[in-house]
Amino acid sequence: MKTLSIILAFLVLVGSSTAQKLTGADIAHQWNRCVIEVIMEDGFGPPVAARIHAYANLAGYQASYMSEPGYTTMVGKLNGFTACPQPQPGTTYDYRVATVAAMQVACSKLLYRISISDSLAAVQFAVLKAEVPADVFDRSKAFGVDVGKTINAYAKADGYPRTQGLPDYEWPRCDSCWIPTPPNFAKPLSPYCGQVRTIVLKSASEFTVPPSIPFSTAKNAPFYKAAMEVIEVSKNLTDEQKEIANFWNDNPVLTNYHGHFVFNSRQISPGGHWMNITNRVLADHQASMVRCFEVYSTVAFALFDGFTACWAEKFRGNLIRPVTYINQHIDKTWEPMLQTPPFPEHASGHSTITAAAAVVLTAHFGDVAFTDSTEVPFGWKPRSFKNFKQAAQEASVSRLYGGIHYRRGCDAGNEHGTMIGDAVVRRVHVRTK
Amino acid sequence: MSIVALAFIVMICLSVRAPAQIFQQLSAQRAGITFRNDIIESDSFNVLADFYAYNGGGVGVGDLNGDGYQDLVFTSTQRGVGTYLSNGDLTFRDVSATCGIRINDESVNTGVLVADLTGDGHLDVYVCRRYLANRLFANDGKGNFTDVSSTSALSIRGFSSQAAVLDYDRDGDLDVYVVNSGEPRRKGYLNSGLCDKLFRNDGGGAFTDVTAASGINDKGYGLSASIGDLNNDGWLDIVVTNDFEERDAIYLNNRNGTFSDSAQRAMANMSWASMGSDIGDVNDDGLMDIMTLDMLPRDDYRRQTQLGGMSIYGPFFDSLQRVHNALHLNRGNGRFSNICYQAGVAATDWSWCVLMGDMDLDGRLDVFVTNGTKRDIGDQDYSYNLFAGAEPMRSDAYTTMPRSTLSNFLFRNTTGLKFADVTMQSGLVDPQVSNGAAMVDLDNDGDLDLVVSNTDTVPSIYINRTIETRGAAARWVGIALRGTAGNAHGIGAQVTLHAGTRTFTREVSASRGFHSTSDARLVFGLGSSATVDSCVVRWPTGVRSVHTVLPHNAYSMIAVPTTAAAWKPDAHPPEYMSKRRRASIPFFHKENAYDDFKRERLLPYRFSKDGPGVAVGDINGDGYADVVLTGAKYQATAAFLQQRDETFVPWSCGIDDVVDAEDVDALLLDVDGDKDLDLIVVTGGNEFSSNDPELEDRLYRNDGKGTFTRVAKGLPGGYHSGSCVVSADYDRDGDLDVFIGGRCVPGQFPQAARSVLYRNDNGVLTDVTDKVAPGLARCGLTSQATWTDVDGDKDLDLVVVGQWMTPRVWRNTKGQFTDVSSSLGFDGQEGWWYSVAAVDIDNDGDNDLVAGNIGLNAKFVPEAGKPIVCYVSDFDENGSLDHIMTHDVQGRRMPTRGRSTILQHMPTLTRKYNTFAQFANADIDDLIAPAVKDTARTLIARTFASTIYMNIDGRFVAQPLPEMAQISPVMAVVPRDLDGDGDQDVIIVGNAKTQDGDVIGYDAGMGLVLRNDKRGLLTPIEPWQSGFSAPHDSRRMAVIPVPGLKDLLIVTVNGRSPRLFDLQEFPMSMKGTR
Repeated sequence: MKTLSIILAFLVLVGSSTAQKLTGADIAHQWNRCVIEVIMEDGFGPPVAARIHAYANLAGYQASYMSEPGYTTMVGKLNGFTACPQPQPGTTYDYRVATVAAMQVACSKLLYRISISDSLAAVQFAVLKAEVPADVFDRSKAFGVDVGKTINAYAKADGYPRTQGLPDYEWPRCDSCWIPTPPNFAKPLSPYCGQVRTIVLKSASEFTVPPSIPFSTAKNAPFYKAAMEVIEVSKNLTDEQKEIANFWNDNPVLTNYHGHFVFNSRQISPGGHWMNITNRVLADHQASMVRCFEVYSTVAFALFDGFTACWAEKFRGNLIRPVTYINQHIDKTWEPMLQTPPFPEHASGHSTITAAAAVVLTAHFGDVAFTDSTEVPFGWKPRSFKNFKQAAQEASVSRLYGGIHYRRGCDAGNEHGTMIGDAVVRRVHVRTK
Repeated sequence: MSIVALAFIVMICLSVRAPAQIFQQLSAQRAGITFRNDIIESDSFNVLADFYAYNGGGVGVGDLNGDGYQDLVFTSTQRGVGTYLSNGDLTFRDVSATCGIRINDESVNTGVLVADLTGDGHLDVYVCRRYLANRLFANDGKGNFTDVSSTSALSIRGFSSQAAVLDYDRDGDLDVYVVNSGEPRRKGYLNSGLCDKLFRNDGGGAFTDVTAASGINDKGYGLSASIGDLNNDGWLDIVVTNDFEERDAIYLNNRNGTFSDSAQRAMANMSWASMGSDIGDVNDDGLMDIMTLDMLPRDDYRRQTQLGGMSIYGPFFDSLQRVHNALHLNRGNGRFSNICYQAGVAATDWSWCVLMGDMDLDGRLDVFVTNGTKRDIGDQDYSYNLFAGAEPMRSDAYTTMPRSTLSNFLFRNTTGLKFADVTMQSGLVDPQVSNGAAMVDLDNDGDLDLVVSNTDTVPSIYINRTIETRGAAARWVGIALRGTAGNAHGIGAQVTLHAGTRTFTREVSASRGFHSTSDARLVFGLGSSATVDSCVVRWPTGVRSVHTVLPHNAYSMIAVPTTAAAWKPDAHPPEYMSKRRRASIPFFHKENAYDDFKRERLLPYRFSKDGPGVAVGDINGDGYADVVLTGAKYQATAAFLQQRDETFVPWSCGIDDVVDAEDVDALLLDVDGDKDLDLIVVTGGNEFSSNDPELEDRLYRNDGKGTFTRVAKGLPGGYHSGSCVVSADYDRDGDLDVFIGGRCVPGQFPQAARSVLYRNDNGVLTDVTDKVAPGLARCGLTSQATWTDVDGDKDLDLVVVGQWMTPRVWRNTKGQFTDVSSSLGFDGQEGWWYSVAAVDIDNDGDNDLVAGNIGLNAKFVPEAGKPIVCYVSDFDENGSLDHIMTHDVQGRRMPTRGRSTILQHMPTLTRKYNTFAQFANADIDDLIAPAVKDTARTLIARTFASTIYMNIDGRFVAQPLPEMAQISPVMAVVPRDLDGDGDQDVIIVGNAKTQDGDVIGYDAGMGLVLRNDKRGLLTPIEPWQSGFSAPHDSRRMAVIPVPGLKDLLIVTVNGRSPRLFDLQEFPMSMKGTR
């Protein structure tokens, strides 16, 4: 059903675009919307989703950056990214065609439902073919395909594909250890994602995550109090806090139990949420194609490295989730407002990547107010923010409201994510001086 | 003549020759029945608002007005009750408006019980309901009913599904068990249902809620209760089926007004989403068997697209519950064997009502099952996409759910243990959403007709035409009981008919199946039996009466005699092998927790739970045989010395030096020729890496006094995961040579670990495998081996069995071995072999082979021309092996595992199979490009039957072991002349709760004694006769001689203590079953 609606949207585009030109920025935005939608449809977990956003936009950037003066390649600026095809000097290219080709090839190895990305490419190619000379079209497309293949090889080498063939993760058993959580008691999600090569950070552990509160079951201990705070907050939630928790829930696959009837509902992932914010801001600024890919890429790198670094810490520390601790030691019937995602607590992944993305967006656009309507399709009202960092703060504390993190886990994630965002801003310079 | 005309004539000929159908549908219109159960959905009443919204109605049967014909009461979900009186000619008149059974409110009606609850001899009607209180209507005997709900204690509000009646306290009246479910909307994970209720009848329609004191504490989402005497003590017991993760219960009557739930001890597994149930004796052994329904689809496509499986990783996984119908065969020893797969009744899709009745009057209980659902919430694609993408679930989301109209099933009982699906030939093909159903002889002609409640349409009425078709050739006896005043219809009586060599046992029950009440009269088909010799009635009050004159082909009324003898259970026959002696071995096998599937997700079964092995021999030279039992990982192998008083005491003898190995087998033998027994311990398991030092097999030398010293590099064949050790002097040099079987390279299924043949050279064991037996080293995933002279040339040949291979025979020719399996007739015998023993079964002087296989009680079983094939390669090139096991569906090799599991291991396949429907259509050639598939390793299994290979003139001819021996894997075989008649009888044991993450457990095995008639015909002796009862994961057996007394038999059990049995001689007169 959803698939159909996406394809229909493309068809409408074809009808209207004969009159209206397909700009490079259109291409950048349409591909990012497509990737966000297919990720939801495919049900990728948040860390894997961020990886897809990163490599897809890297492909778009590498295929397009020569269309505008003032931009350079990302070769040499990313870990292990040592070469990427260049256009033949002195010949004409249409970089929109190249970009579509690069995105299509990259997505063919990143996504599952590639019939959707293929149809987007087909629709865009049809429009472009009508205005671009055949030889230029073919040459540009071939160049884009080369870029796409290069990105595929680069992505494959990051170690992620091998993590899929690894044995199931054995989580350690101890009093403070994470164990699968109700209601689905699912196995941990993407437990090996912390082992994937970071794209900008020197390593997943480059920045130290502020530590969690020392574990204790003693009633006067800070940890017990932290859990009590989760209960207290959950009991006294204001309507606005509930709204905030739901607005930033971003649990990509939510399992619903109605007796016999168990079904999944899909939402946007945390990374997808920030890619969507990026999309809106870029559109508001009427950014050009290369600018779009520059911002999309760097935000995606922040998300990707944010997840990798956060996951490395989560599975190093293996901290128990509030629902488990509270059910074991305080109240065996307590349930959090949000469904607890299936991985260890410390630190909050959403807090981490949100802070990282907010830093990158602030570097690009400054402190600008914006309204986020990402969650409207999921039934939640738009929310307005003074700036990106305020949004990040709110997303972070929303995990406490939702009952799935201790306040310490939210704060630590926010601090860690800020460091990661700063590193991405510092290291990925693609403008020529 | 045109081809069309020719085809037309052929069609006519075919239709004429078609066999007569048992049932003929009688249209509701012709019968005068206009009742419909239309379920009108609304945003507040649908499966999302109340997950029991579509459970449907029921059918109640009984002669309400005393005219001799059975009348019908229908419940509808939302529209009250319909009552129809029989005109006696298969037409009915609608008295719903006038008879007094009126329900006008809008609550939901579920089950209907037709029974005399007021104790006046007339059939009353009790209607169970959701939301509002249950209702009781009292009958004046002429079919005029009065609503007595307001004064009856039975009028409870309990979200009830059905009620059953039984005289549990033997006071002569009918007590009531009410099955309750729970709140309609069930969120979270901690809610449980409402407790079922037991009401004691205090006479005159007065009832007292005795639930709390009775021991009944069933808080599940109960959907049915069935009544029967399950332990043959003359007191009625209760089986309760519970939906979802709450387990089913078997409430055994403690004969003092209380009940105890014995389900967890009595059953190795049960249905998960248990719905309807029934009780009856399917194999005519006089023991009541149980059938419960679930929702496993029969069709492979629906199996893949429905919520038809359960994973050990599922949130509600319970080792006792599986998604399948259960046919619990009563083994007479307090335990049941679920033989649903072997019987062929495991899968009937979304099922509601099961009725056991002899539909074709051949003397055996057949099985009828209703199924279907108004909204198919099991459809995986639907569930998965309900929320996919955009908005939250709408309150009318139910309107887009697919409907599953399915054909009901009829299974003909062919052997007592095997049922044939005869739906297509029975006149029952009519896809509907069917819920409750009743068996009833509507036309009083002696065969059982069926009335089925359908959702959204009129009921289906199927008239049984067996008597019409077969005439006088159909022989039957009908019995209607006239019991005590408070139980006029004799509900709960057990009637046993003796007819020639056959005995038929039936119990009178009111409510049966699901939401429904069947005919309380009994019909016995006699099959080919000529005469009824006698009829014994065990009345529910505990007295018995015997009746010798019973007319054929007619109903007889049998009244409870005024002066009747008390019934006493038959004197229990002596259980010959029951351990009566004090012998015990203080050893508990602690199997370590290891999940093979976490390393190899698509592995067909585990390799990490093979032990314990056992070795028997006199360790310390005192003339008494001692025992060595091998330990799992983290547990040392241990020795136990036999004392003069038959006890065994732990003996610290230097063999506990290794605890980190998974020891799976042991052998005591004199390696060095110093006249004492040395010890070989074989290590195995899957929880290692290849070449881990824990995989080194160990040789210990005995100092003559029972103390062992490890011989460094005593078994120099390398580090391999092993399975077994056997010895023989193959080169006839006077010392014992050794074969150690290789199992699986850990984590590398299906790569065979190295099997090793050691030649004994004056006490030094040398690996000579490749020199004297080329090919033996990698002969397969072995499990057991034996040395025997297969060709009569006086030297010992080697027989090796294992999985995905045929039994392989290596012929010994002057110390050189060649594989001669093919020329001996083993081609095409690839199985999942676990055990083998050489024994002269047919008493002709040569050795035959008894080979234990996985058995036929399995979800996927290969048949002739339809092998199970497993393809192995790194298909998605991500560094791990992918195993795709397939079974044959109409010539196509379809994956056995579900989409979720396979895609979890091979995520790139998601690109091709976005939906469960797409995956359900994919065979191996779709999943794997043929060119890639051709490079894959291919494993084949063609037979799962445990088999005797009869040695007939040097060739081995396969004969399957009896049906009862196929209900579980056979992990060990011991030949033994148990009755002293000079031939070899056979003892087998085994279970394997070690299978894959979706289908865990082959656990119906109880051990079995097979008695030989001297010519090789083996007859099972049931545990209650033999006393040999070995449930759980039995692994190996060995005989322990006890000086001056009968030998003992030891059975080792994975994860438990071993069991010991007396090998007392059986009387020659003991009869087996089938």
